[in-house]
Amino acid sequence: MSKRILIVDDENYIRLLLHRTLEELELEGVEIHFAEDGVVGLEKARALRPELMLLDVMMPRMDGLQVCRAVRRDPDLVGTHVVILTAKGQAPDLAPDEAPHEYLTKPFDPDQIIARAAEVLGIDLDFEI
Amino acid sequence: MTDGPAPARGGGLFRALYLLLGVYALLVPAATALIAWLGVQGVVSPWVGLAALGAPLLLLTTATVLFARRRVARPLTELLRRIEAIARGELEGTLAIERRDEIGRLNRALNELAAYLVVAREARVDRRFLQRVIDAMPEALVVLDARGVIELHNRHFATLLGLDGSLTGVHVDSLVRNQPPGWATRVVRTAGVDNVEVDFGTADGPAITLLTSSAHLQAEDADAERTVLVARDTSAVAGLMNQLRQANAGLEESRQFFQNLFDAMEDPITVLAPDGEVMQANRAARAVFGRDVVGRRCYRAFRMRDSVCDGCPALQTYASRKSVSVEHRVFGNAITRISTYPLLGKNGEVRAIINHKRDVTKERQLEDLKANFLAAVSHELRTPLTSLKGFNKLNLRRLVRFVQPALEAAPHKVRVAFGKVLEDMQVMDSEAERLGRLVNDVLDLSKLEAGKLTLTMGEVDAGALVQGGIVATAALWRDKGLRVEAQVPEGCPPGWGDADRLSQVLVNLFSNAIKFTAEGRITAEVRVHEDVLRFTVRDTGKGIAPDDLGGVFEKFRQADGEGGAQIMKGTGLGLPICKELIRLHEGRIWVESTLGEGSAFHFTIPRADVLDDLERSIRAGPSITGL
Repeated sequence: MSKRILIVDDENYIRLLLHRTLEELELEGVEIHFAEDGVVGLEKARALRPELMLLDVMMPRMDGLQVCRAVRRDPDLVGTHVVILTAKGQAPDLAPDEAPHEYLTKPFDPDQIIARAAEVLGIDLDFEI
Repeated sequence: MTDGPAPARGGGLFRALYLLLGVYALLVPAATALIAWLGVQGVVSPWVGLAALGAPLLLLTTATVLFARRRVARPLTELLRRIEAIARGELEGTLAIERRDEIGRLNRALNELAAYLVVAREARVDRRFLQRVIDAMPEALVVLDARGVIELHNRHFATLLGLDGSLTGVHVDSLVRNQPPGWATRVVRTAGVDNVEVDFGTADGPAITLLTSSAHLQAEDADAERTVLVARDTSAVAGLMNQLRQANAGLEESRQFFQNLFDAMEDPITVLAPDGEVMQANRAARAVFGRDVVGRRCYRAFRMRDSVCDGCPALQTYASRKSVSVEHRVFGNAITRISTYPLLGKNGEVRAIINHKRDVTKERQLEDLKANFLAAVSHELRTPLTSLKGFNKLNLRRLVRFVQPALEAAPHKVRVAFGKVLEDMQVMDSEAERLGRLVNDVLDLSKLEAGKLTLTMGEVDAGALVQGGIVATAALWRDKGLRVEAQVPEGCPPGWGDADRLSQVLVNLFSNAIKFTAEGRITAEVRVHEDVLRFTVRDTGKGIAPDDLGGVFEKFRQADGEGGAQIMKGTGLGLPICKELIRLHEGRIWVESTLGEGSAFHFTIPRADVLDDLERSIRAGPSITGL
């Protein structure tokens, strides 16, 4: 079964940027899914059980921290590695069992994102970054 | 005068004379008759008879003259001389005439007179001395007899009244102006006066106010009693009093001015005693806490509590002798800030505490608004920035990976243009990066300035901080070939601060030092002072001109770096952020520089090992406590 990445961000271009950044992983059979707010993001997370979830913080309806908390508490989603994409200084204090596995600071470096994603998914990229 | 002769009795001298005259009166007719009878009888010749008669008479007369000369004329001459001597004032010496007759009495009377004159002269000398003494007194002195008539006074009294002559014999009531009639009589007869202001003056002269006291001289005979008045001219004192009154009025005016100023303050301001008793309250404080607020305990008056409030800022100020600010969230969303300031005494002790209450709800709302606005703006800025930077980077990678190899066979012109595209896109990348940092710095600084940034205080390891800064900037200094040294003393005590924020400061100072240093080295030092740790980042760079030194901590001031394009341009907010962060640590930050030789940036933070718990809690910064 192919590996899945879920990108949750209300900004079109950020979703597009992340897609473009990670699209090379699609060549390795990785599925990339999208959600445009927290509520849809959580639904899709539960439905898809992605290996990697990239979460924006400020989103309508349900913000990234709430989504993160819900995902981390969901026993079905223990296999999901949650990355919160945050601006500098926005990292809130969360309890260890509610916190994301890691934070990546915006504006992010595409090379860094794909490198981390490949690492999390256990994929060896055969090209030089 | 024990044996003074009664004048009616005749003296011995006259008695002797009367005796002689009597003898004459008897002898002369008897002798005349005898001679006449003898002559008639012819017993004796008339010549013999005459001779017989004349011889005793001659003898008697001679005896009388001799007697008078010896007993009367000579003593009289002596007495006369003595009288003349007495008249000349030669009172000493007496005549030794021990006689009971008139001459003797005259002599005794003369001696008594001389003795009396001696006494009188001595009395006159005493009185003159006394007069000189009382004339020398700086106060007026008047002696009144039992009726209130001036018996004696000193010159000063007359001078004060503008007179040269004597006032002796004048009734003192005629000289008194501002007292009811019969004043002197009452003073003389009854209790007298003690420091009473009495206006003295002659009928036609000016009056003068004298501070008058009296003393009574008792005597057995009521008529012999005397009253002494001592009076002082108070006009000199009155001048002083007047000055004092003016000074007092000035003081009162200034007190009133400051009271008005105090009352004009819109915020409730109180002055507290060290035990929390409200000593003074301005109008606003009386309006808020009640008119009877003065005298009550602060916790009762201000917050209706029975004991000292938790985190009482006045107590903190009392203990630390520093101003303290505490904010309370009261009644829903209202926020009150209590600021306390110490009023120090001469020895540096806290004599009182000024307590300033301010409703900062609106300020906080505005700050929240600003912070939210800035957060929103920065988010809104960051999102497109992320896209710009991200897509630019993706494109760069695509160009390098896919297009560049395909262009190897392309014409020279195309390859040159392609190279320029890559260069320009690199510039776009670094500028987008800078814009990102600028957004972050603006957000940081606005948080700092709004007091929204709370430090997480704790003990910090100075050595680790310095090493962290060196490691974090390694790419920069290695790139420029600079040497970096750290000098941290062994056993350096821990500092008190927020490790992340202090690290931010050090990284900033290192980046700056590297940026402005083309060659040489960067030195980081830590020195241990009595209360603080001093960090220094020293470079061998181009230095700062004296005129620019003052402005380096201002916003958006930046100079051009040294060493080309590989160094990122700054945001102009790095040092202002450092300054704010160090200020929050109650430290100091400053710079020393010599143009062409380098700069040294210093900052201090408290030593953790010298702070007690209270100071640690105060230095944790302004806090908001809920009710």
